[in-house]
Amino acid sequence: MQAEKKPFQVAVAQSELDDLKSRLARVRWPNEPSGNEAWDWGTNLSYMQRLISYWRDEFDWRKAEIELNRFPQFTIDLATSSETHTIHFIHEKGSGKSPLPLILTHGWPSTYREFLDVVEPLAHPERFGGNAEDGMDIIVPSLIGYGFSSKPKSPVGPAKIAELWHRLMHDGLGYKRYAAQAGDWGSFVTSRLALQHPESVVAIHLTMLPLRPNLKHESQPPVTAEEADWIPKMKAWWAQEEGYRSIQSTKPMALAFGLMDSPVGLAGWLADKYWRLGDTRKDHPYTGMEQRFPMHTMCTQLSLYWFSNTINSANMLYKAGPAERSALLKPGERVTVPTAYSDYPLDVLPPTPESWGRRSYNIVRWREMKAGGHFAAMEEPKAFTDDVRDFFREIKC
Amino acid sequence: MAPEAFKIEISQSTINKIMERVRAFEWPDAPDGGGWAYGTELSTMKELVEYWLHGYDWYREQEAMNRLPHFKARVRDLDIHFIHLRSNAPKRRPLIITHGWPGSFVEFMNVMEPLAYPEKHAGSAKDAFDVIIPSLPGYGFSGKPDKPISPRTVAGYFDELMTKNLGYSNYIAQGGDWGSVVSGWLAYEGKGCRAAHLNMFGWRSPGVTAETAEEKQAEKHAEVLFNMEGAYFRQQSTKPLTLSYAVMDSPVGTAAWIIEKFKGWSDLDNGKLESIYTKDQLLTNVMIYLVTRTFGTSTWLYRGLFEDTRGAPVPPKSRIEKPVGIARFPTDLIPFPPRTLVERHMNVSRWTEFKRGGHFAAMERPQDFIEDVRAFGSDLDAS
Repeated sequence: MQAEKKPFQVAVAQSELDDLKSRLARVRWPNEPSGNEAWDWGTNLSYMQRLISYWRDEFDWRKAEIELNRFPQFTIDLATSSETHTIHFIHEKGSGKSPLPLILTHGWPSTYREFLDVVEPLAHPERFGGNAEDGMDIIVPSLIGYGFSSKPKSPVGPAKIAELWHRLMHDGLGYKRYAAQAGDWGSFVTSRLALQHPESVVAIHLTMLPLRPNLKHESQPPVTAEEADWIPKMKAWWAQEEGYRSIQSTKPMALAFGLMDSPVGLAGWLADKYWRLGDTRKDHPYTGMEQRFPMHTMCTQLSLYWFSNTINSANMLYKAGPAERSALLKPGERVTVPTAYSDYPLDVLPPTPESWGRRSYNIVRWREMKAGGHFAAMEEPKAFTDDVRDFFREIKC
Repeated sequence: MAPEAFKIEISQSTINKIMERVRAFEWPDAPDGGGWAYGTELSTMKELVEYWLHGYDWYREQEAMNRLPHFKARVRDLDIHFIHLRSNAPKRRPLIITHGWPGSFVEFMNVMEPLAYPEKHAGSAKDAFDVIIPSLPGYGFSGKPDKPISPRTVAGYFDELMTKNLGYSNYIAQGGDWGSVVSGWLAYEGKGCRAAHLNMFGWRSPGVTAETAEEKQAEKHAEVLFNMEGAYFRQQSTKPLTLSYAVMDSPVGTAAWIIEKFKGWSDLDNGKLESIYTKDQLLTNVMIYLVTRTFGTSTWLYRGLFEDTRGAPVPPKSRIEKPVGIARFPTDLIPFPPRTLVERHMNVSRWTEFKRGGHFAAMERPQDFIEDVRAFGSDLDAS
């Protein structure tokens, strides 16, 4: 039986909004160590106080709902051997005679909101001075356990999510051939999608390259000088940054009680990543942050986690991902689908060597972007749109 | 400066605010059949919160704590809170016992009086200690530092407390967890410290490495454990503030973060917390963090460990040369490695292996703890 898509609208009850406000009003702040202007010890207190008072007093969730509801959204139920998952997604049909279907997948700590500013330009380029024939059918799902998709009974990893994405695209929406774009956890899902369904995936565009080769295997060329320089830098960076990943991948339930009880706690836990991974100016505790991620956008993201009660199920992806062992390629395994990689200039991370990407992917285009970080579609929607559109136009030709 | 007597007096409105939040708590989803495999078990928390709401009485606990003599003393820039029991013996044998994270002075409720007044607790008067139990800076009722400080700096505060504020020139330092690191520093360089008794391998000499196969195996084992259990450490030693917003804003969140450690680091029968701990013990320890709002500052020691490098550099392979008594409890998070390795870090004068017990030795095995400390005290008297 073919699963049917059902229309979906975001609509949060007023009682939920009131409850959120009352929780935000009674916050108990932690002490901040002196000298935390650059967020060195964690999420800056002055930023948090501005964010929380905005969320409580100025944020207009109803306006955010209108923005989120601008594009047609649906849910679809997909049964697996263990349980039935409900996948929530935007589905905006593109302009032109034969729009290429493109599924864009967000990551953590983001939501489908990440792509909201690029849906229309990618689907309807002619409205932005482009060519209608470049239009694409845009599909933006919420990851399993995120936003308005269902929470799994036990954590589900990227390889399994990729299977669900294929069923959504191929069976649910009837696309025999489609393309995919992503960063962060979305890039794990998208890479797996390309590995598992090369017959259907035309091409993929990534802003992160998560698959790792088995360097010890004889098929791998020796580590280059550039890679040898890059690998320890990445490890050193992670040593400073991996606290969240470490907790979420080992003991997410130790953290869940606090995060599910406290919207301030949720904001503190997530804002840290926007500061660090976004291309934010870091010479002031909050001005650069607020320019990069306007308060309304941040509060929309946070509210999506809060109202859907999904921070815990979202964090569980860090448990499911490593458990699935789907990021380490088997000897000889490689993504054969044409792959574009766009490197956004995160100031904290050293750029990935192209040779590293080529080990695991059939890289057909490698591009260095000028501005933007880990949340590229939110940070630089215009550059992101142009870059993605350029690539898939080439692929179509 | 002379210490001032101190009583714990938490206002009813503070308790009410905490309890209102506990009452309003909405339970998170947990993976099916996950137990403790994903962190704190949902059903354990539900049972604990049920008791918190309907059986627990902060004021009953406060009264019990206030039966002990509490003090605060100004040491450098901070008020240090401590319990001080003076023995009835003519000879002063001072003993400073330092707690760790996520503990508090509450860990020592059942051992402090037997140690100070053995004549009333099936012991001999000659074993009596003057017992001093401080709260670490940033913990409990001690003052909060302005920024993270290291265990070595904490040891400086405590040495000053013992020698200058209390006039003890020849004390023994005891500790597990951070307390073992602080006590190690006291033994290494504390002016008034004569010996240390440790129930965790905290203080390490730089440059000492595992050599024998057995030592290397212990090191490997510790590494594996740390990968499984070290997430809290990684977070607290890098971005403590990022975590603190959630934990400090949610009393149940605080309890979940702390209780998970009592579960993971203790020697329990069939994995049941109640085989060793009463709910009152667990909750009072959590409440100390809540009423004093110290969860955030308590995590700062992890960061301070790496950043506060005050004090003269420690030459590679320097040992603690003062006598050290080791109480090895087998189920600690990372139990002591073989004695041969520990000997290269410190002058081990006593080594006791217990069959049962874990990280919170004074709570889990109070009698073993008391007897070992007494025996170590006798060793020192005889030497």
